[in-house]
Amino acid sequence: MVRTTTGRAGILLLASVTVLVVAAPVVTAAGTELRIGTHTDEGPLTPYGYTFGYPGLQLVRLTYDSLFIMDRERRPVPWLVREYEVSEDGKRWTLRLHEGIKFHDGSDLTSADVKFTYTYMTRHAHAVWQRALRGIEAIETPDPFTVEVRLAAPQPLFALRPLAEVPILPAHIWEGVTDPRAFTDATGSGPYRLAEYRPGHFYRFEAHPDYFHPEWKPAVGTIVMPIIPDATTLFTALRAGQVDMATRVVPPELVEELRQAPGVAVQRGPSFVSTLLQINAEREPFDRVEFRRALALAVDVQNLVDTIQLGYATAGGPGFVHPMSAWLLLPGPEAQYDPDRARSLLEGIGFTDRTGDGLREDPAGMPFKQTILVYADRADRVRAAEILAEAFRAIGLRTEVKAMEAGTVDSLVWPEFDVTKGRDYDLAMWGWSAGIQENPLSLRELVHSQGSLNIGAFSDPEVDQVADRLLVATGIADFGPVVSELARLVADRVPFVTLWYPDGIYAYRPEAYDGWVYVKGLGILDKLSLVTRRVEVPEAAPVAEPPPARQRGWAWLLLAAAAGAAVVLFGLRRARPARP
Amino acid sequence: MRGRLGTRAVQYGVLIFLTVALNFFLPRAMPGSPLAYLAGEDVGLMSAEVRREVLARHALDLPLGTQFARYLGNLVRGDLGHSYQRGRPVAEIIAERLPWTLLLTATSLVLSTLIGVALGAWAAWRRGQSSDLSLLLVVMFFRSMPSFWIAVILVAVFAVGLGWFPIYGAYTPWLVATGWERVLNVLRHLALPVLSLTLIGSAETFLVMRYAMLDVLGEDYIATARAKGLSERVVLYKHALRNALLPVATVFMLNLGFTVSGATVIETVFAYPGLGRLMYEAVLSRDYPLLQASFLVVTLAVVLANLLADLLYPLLDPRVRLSDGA
Repeated sequence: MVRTTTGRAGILLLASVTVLVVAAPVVTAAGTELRIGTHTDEGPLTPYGYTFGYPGLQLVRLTYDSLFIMDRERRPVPWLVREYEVSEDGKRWTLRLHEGIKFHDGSDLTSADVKFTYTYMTRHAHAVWQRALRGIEAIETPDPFTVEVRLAAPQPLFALRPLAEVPILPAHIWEGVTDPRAFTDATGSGPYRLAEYRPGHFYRFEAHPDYFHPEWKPAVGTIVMPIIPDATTLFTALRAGQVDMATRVVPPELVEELRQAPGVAVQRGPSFVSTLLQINAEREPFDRVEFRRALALAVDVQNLVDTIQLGYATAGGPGFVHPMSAWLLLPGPEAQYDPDRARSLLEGIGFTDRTGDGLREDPAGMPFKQTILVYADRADRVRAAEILAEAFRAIGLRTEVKAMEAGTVDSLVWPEFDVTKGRDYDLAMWGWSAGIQENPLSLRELVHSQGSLNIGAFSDPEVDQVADRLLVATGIADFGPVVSELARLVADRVPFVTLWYPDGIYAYRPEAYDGWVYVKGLGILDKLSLVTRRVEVPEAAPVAEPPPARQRGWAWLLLAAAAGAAVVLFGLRRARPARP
Repeated sequence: MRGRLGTRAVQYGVLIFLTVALNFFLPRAMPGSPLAYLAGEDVGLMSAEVRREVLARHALDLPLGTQFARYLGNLVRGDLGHSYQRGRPVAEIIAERLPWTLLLTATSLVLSTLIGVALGAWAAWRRGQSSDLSLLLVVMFFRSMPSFWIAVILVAVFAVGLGWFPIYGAYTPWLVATGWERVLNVLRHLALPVLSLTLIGSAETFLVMRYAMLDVLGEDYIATARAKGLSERVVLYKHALRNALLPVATVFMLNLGFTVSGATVIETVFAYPGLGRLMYEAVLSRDYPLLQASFLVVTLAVVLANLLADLLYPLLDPRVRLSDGA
């Protein structure tokens, strides 16, 4: 009897806890919160502590400012700097800062902080910042608002890199920090202050009340960023109104569904991210330009765009440079799909089918097989690799697809991320981030025989010669003709096959916040989206309640069905005679 | 007895040393490099000089043996090192995540054991009847479903459809409440992940319990108890259930050790800040210090659970005591 009472009490307690939990009101944001679901934990969000370029660097830019900023067309324009002059020889930049710039802790940002940052970042290893600051000879600060930078040689892209790139650190906080990677204080001067960071859980930003900019002010009071790694959960939360924007690019198969979802809007624009088929030009027969050309001619890039990206991408230009790139003066070369010419090219270099099985043997008569490596966790790329393998088989090349864990693929294609360490692959599905398209000097790193991003060990004296001309450019206008010529050469020599540039597609709930700006090549998660021209910190529209009852009907139905099934089962049991 | 304890201690000591060594060398034997996380993105654009400096700062340029010796030295001093990816002390990161993981996995382990035992005993009692068979069917159904699928269905029905529960997180990030309101908020976030894990976990306990119970119910002493005229309830609870609990206790102890390793899939689907997801990300980013430390925590927990099982077993099963004495 005691046992039964305990059991009943237990069940009663469990039931009441359940009712309490279910009946408690769903906590919605109090009014000024904007909830941005982010797909990665980006670490402490200092310039040394963020993890990925996207979305990490975009979040760092919310808390820090740089001297210049990239506008929505991705052109550098002054930001912390009020006005500037460049000497005639292009070697001296005089920058005048706005007055009254405050860090989040209330202290002033002055020319001393700029000098400190540029010096500190030159001395403390970081792949992006340290490289951006190369070529600076001296920095002087004649007064708290003036910075004079002397360069060893003119740098036509100086406003882009480092001025628009390098975030300014507060000197009084970073002085004496010897291991910047282990330092977690993210005090900056940006429009938002990082108020709370719970690793693996969320970030919370508060508007910077004393933001310096005379025109642009923080657009919302609080930004909460829950970290939601799973794509399904993230977009479900968006649809259900539990987040207001998702940082993850919407996968092509979800675009239509999200467009139809009530209260959800989708913005789409060009992205400078690229997906390519990387070729190991060091290995036979990929060292022969005819073989590489045959590979390129066998690929129907438009078919890939339609099949893999469901049309939400720009077909890859064989010259690598994105057709919307500001650096491309003439229209870039167009991809050609011509399997017949591919076949005759292969015949021409001795790749013939001697056994009559539809697959070619190499010039020595030995069976030939090539392998495409691909990240196993990238379903789109695995599918693309399979389509490519089919296309290559169609021109008689035996091709195998090998999907492996990302780190393992990296270690074969780009061991220790150092091109001088060799490589062990034939072909690989690869991608470069948007930044590579943005800086013409990166193009040189990609295709020059000594380039640090030349992961295929591609080497062509003519390409080297043209690429080197990028180094001696003295004005912005010098880049266009060189980039255009380089794109033409790359299309002809095929160091890799550029497959597509995926569209940037982002979903958000406009009733929560509608200030999103699509920044060309980058997307909508950008400082420009979260500052507004209004002077006062406005209150964002109240956050939407959970979805309307109409949508819940099917869930009730399902529950009712389950309950019905339980009753039937129970009834069946009762209907049977008791155990003898 | 003392000699036996001494042997045990040596056994566990060797076991722990071996796993520490494995935890150190296995991640390093994996292809791939932590450099991308040490130097930031655009790692390929680093100059050779910077590359050397970065490797040296993390002692990655030293011979593997030296690195291991250093690691052991630090371990003895209680220093678990700094995470490559997160730039923070590993101990701090794990301490943050561990309570959430335990809340999630221990709650569901306890719940699934209770439910599994109750249902398993009940099903065995009604062996062959429709209620037993339909319960078996339901349990096999949940047992054979992938955990993420169960989680996604629960989210669709209870979070999106009915709006009863939040979809992500361990609590509402902008919540300023304290006391009961906060507890309720945490419970609400915990509900669906725990329900997913419980549905899967109770299936295992159910099956073990049902078969153990069937075994016991066939024993002579049950017939004797019935013959004595004891009520069915007393026979079931006092005579059968207790004796059938031993295999369940074993399963429980096995699972107890692994509660600290979290539930990667469920943590990912519900964006729950637990250790499982953390370890998964540490593997992907080749974050050696974080990997070593989190594997060490799991190892220690499993060893502890084993030790606990060793100590508890004689209490649960007098036969173990008897054979020891013999």
